[in-house]
This record gives sequence, structure tokens and C-alpha cells, in this order.
Amino acid sequence: MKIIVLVKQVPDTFDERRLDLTSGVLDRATGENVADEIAERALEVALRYKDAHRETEVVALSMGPDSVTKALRKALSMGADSAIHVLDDALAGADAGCTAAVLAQAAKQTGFDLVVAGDESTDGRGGVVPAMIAEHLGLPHLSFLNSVDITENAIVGERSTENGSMRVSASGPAVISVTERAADARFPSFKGIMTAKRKPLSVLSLGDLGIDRGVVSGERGRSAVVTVSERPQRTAGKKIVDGGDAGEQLAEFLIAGRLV
Amino acid sequence: MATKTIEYWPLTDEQRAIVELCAQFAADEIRPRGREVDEADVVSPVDIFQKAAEVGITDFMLPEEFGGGGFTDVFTQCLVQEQLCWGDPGIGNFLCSNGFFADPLLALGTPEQKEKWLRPLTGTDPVFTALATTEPDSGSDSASIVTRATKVDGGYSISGQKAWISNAGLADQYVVFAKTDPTQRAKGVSAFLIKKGAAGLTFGEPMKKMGQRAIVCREVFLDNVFVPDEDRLGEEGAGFYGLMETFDISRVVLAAAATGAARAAYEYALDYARTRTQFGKPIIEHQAVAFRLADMATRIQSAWLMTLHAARQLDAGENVTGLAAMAKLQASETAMFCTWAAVQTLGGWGYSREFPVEQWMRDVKLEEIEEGTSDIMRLVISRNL
Repeated sequence: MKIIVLVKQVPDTFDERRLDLTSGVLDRATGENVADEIAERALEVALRYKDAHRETEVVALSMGPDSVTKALRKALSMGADSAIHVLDDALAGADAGCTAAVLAQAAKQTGFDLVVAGDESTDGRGGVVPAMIAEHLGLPHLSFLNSVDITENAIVGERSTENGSMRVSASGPAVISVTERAADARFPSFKGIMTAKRKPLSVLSLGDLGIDRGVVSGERGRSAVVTVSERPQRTAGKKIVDGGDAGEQLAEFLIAGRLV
Repeated sequence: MATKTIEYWPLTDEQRAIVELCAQFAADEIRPRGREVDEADVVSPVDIFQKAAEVGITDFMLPEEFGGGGFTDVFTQCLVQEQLCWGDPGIGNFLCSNGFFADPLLALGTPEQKEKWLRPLTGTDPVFTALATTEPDSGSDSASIVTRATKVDGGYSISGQKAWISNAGLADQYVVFAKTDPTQRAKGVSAFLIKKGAAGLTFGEPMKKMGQRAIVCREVFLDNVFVPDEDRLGEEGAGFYGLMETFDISRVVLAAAATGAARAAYEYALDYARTRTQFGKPIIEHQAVAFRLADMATRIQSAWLMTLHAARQLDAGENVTGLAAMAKLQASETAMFCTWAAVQTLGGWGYSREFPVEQWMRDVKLEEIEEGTSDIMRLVISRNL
């Protein structure tokens, strides 16, 4: 089986993260860039399958600037067999739709039996790219899986909702996204770190993928940032004085805030 | 993280990845267990050792030809040790204890001995090891040991008593230093390789320690333990010199350990000082507190630079006995100061066992004593001026 794992590089959640207030684009220069933790969990899902089925090929795929190499090398040191880095200046500031189109094409070109992704990145938090990719590829999509069981013929997973849980399945090839409950990522090993350098890491431009640069340029993307503003300062909370109606005031507050 | 680490020397991509791995392992697997291990008093956390073995931490420093990770350079060992001991001083040292056993083997061993005694330390199911030099009446003056190795047919019969032996009882393999010639001092010391279970080899109860409780120390009793000729490590009389050689390495690695512990204390105190308020402001804005933190930061920079400098010199094959001693002296005294200062900064909470800094203060005291006390370090330095 060949499994593609989608890896995204994001700013470290423990550092200060900034949006550029004029363009609305994430300021990637401040702070450390790290492989998104959810992507490492997605990779762990693939690697566990590989532990049990040695001939499995796991490919880490990412779209992003130069620094993405670090995240891909980490994926290789954890046990991925090869990595693909889609790198092109025209992709700067790409929105989710563009990202999905490009990744779908890269996956199609590489070939796969399964695509595994994290459910939501810690920076953009759109949570839509895996679904869009499945749509582009015309494949089933199993989303937000808390646990997943992969076999040669089918993928079965469990997804939670507000009211209960669902068991969902699809036959391959398919796209799945996993939540943080799906797996705890393994540490890379010293051996893995040393062998990572010898594993193939190919860099592809939009041209290599057969995608016209003009189609994805920032100006003609399908979504546009209209306004960006800083989160307002936290204001003091509301104080309720109990004149006999505190219960009602509290209930109103909770309902208005959609907390019940 | 309270501080951003800027690289002192250019690291390779692999070294950077190794540092990141060890930092993550220390934060996820070591730091959360420190207090529990301290309070358990005499129980080594073998499960953490096992996890570390799976990642390659326990054998990275052993040569590849015997199954190790091949990072035999002291510089990488320092990078690793600093991160692990940042997690917890005792646990960090426990995880790399096989590296200390390997040093005399690499210095004195034949190829057959290295293969036989180093390979079991590698892989995902390694054995534990111990080095036995110190005796009840013989600490700094290690050439005065009285454990006797008498020549017998086919080997030696060893009798005597060792004290303060890390991992004794847990360890499967031991390097024991004994006198083959009691009329001599250093020249009469030889080294022997012994396995647990050898007839006549027994252990005392765990010794109750101030800190670094992840490593359990016991007395070792040798009652006519037979060691065949092939398990003598190095020539007769070469034991002491082998030991001295390995001290240069182990002292620099312990300097790294002490620096990691110092950094842990400093970062903890810094975070605390930024949030705790008294007299209307965060205490870091009171100069007494700020100056103490400034001193901590300064001394840590200095200790780390010295440690890495000594490591580099060692790796280049230079004679660095004096420099290695300086690094250990500097780093251990820095760790003592920084942990004291962290307790002081946290005040009452520093005294509380709910916070780690008092434990770290007890832990790092050992670094002014083990592998050569600070007094001995000054002796070595002065003799190498």
C-alpha cells in the first residue's frame, strides 16, 4: 500500500503568532516554524500501519516555503520513506482552495492508495483542505476520525458528534482526516535522524505539476481577505447583582453566548 | 520556553534534529516524572530507560561497529546530556549511564572485549552497567583502593568492598578496579569485567541519597570472585591510567549535565519572576531578583561555552585534562548557584516540594562531588597550568 501523509508547517503554538494587518497573511518570519502536531499524528497513523505491513510506502507531502524542508525531514526521521515538497513563489498567500487543488494534483501525480491528513491546522484552522482534496480527486472522504483501522480493502474509522459517535467506512482509494485522539506521534530515533538525509526529498514547482502559475496567483484566488483587525482587548466581565433575578440574568447570559 | 537558544557553534542538520528530539523527549517523558522518582527514593525508572532505548538515547554514544548509534564525539554527547538533564538531573544521567561504562572499555579493551561487553548495551533491549572504583575508605584518593585481585590459575580472585556504585544490583555488567599489586599505588591498579551472578558478587541495600535518586547506589561486595584472564581490561597496572583517561570525557559530559540542570532552574525562576507580583509589580522588576537572574544567565552562558569548548578540544585529540576539569568545576558550581538562586527566587514556593527547584538543588550537589570533587578539580587544574 502507498500512503500519502499531508504535512503542514506552522508557527510554533507556544510562540507569539502574528497576522500581517494589511494583507491578512500569516507572518511566518516571527518565531519558530514546526511541523503541525496534527500532521505528526496523521503520520503516526500511517507509520503504525507500516510497522505491521513492512512493504508499505509512506510519502510525506507538503506545500510551503523553503523552511518546509525541516518539517519534511522530521517526517522522514520518524519513518516516512520519501517526501515531496511543492515549492513555488506563486503560491505565497495561497488560500485553502488553492492549497487543496495543488496538493490534489501532487497526490494524483505521485499515486497513492490512501491520503491521511490532520483534521485542522493550528494556524489557519479552516479544517477544509482534506475534504476539498477528496472532491478534486473524486474520492470518498472520512473526516474527523478519532480512531482508524486500515486494511488493504477498506478504511474504517470512528467519528464523534455532539450526540454520539459514528462508525464510518470507505473502500480505498480514499482521503481521511484524523483528530488528535487518533494517535500520539512517535519520537524520531537517532537512527531515523541519520537515515533521513539519505531518503528522497523531491521539490516540485507548479510547472512540474502541470499547473498554470497564473491560475493560482494571489490576485485571482477564489477567496480574498476583506478586512483584518486585531482581537479587541479583553474587557472586564459583566457583574450580576442579585436582586432576586440573578438566575434569570445568568440564564440569559448563557443563552446569548450560546453556551447552553 | 523562557529563553531562545542561539547556536554557539554551527550544528549540522542531524545535530539540530538530535537536540530537538532530546528536548522533546526531556519535556514529554522526563520532566513530568522527576518528582515522582525523587519521592520513590530508591527506585530507578527503568520504563523511561526502555523508552529512551527505543529512540536510541541509551546507545547513541557507542560505536556503530558494536551496534551503537555511532555518535562517539563528546560534542554530541554534551548536546544530548544537556537536554536530558534539563528534564531532570538524575533521570538524565541515568539514561546515559551506559556511556560511562563504555569509556574504560573503549580506552582499554581488546576488539573481542569491546564486542562482547558493548553489544549488549545497544539496541532496544539494553542491559544496565556499573563502574566500581570508590570504596568506603577510598574516594578522591582512588589509587589507595584495597580491593585485591590475586593471581590464580587462569585468572584472578577478587575480594573487597566498593561503595557508592551507581546502578549496582540493577546492572548486568560491571567494571571493577582492584589492586593486582598492593605495594604500588596507581601502577598497581587493574580493571576487570564482571557479570552479575558471578559467584561471590553481592550487593548492599540502596544507599539513601540527597538527590539524583533515579540512580540507585549500593555497596558491592566481592568475596573471592573469579575473573578469567580474558576479562581483565587492559594490562595489569593499566587500570588507573585508563580510568584517568575516561575521566576527561566523563567530566565534560557531566559539565553538560550540570549546565542543563542550571538552565532548567534558571528558566523556571525566570517564568516565576515574570508572573509573581509583590509590592505592586512582577518581582523581576525588583532589582534584587533581576540581578540574581542576570547572574544565573551569565554563568550558564559561561559554563556552556566552556563545556562545548572542552568537548571540541577533546574530539580534536588535544590533551585537555585541565580544561575538562575547568569545565566540570565551572558547570557544577554554576548549577549549585542557579538552583540555589531558583529556590531563593521562588521563596516559600521554592522551599515547597510541590515545585521542582528544591529537588534540583539537592540533585546538582552531586556534581560537585562525583567523578572528582571540586577540590580535586582545582588540584587537576593547578597541576595543568
